[in-house]
Amino acid sequence: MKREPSGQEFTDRLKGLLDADAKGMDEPTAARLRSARRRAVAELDRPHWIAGWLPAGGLATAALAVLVLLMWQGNGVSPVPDMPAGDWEILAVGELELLEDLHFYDWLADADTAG
Amino acid sequence: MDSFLASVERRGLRMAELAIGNREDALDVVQDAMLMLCRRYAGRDESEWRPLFYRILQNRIRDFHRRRVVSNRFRTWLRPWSGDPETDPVDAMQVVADPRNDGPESQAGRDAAMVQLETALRRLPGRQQQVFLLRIWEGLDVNQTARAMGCSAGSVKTHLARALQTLRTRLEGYVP
Repeated sequence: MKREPSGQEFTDRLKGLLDADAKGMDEPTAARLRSARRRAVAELDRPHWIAGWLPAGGLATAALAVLVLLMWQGNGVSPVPDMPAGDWEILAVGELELLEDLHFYDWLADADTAG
Repeated sequence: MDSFLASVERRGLRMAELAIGNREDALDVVQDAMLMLCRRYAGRDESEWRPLFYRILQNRIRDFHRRRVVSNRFRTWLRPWSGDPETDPVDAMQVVADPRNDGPESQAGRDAAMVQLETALRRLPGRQQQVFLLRIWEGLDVNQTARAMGCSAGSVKTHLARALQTLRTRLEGYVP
């Protein structure tokens, strides 16, 4: 009769599988992790005021982009939907890339309309 | 700091990959977590780095999911003329190959038990997956895990018990 592994044995086996999987990570991915780590550690040598002001600059840029977007929507291009307040917060703080894509969406809209 | 990050980077990446579903975004999330730890918390006591790193990582993963939801909503909003799904062009993101779906060739060499474990972990609810990985794999204690996840110690124990019960059922026969 096959014995059921105990709780500790079971979790040890799962941990062993995960450890082996991480250890066997492909070299290109491991190299990218090392590179990311080096960039992060390099932050320790940067003056603190740079680390403090760069995010503030990014936030100001994002806020400006949202303002421009609202003005653009106010021109009657399309109605502003009822988006939850939290969505705007996310867009303003962390969605710079998405806002940068707006030019693409604008172009896409024009292309669709023309087509 | 370098040796600490080296000790957690691979596990962090796999945790992010399991939670997010693809390696590229997971790499970005792990890099952000490393940067944040160095920028804001390097001065903290070293014993705090591990739970702090995983707290930042879990926050980044949660933010990633929130942004994805908002991005989808935003894109839908920006394209009000695409009201007819029958005639709309197909979203490229919906047809691009999902990196999780490894082909049979790439899976052939992988250990069957690990494949089953990964599948089972992906199917766990997010909180159960997190608590399992932090408690069992990373080896954080209950309080550290609770701190990393932003929940109570009792919640950690509950999630872990459920996760282990589910995994034991789903992996029966694969993990001897």
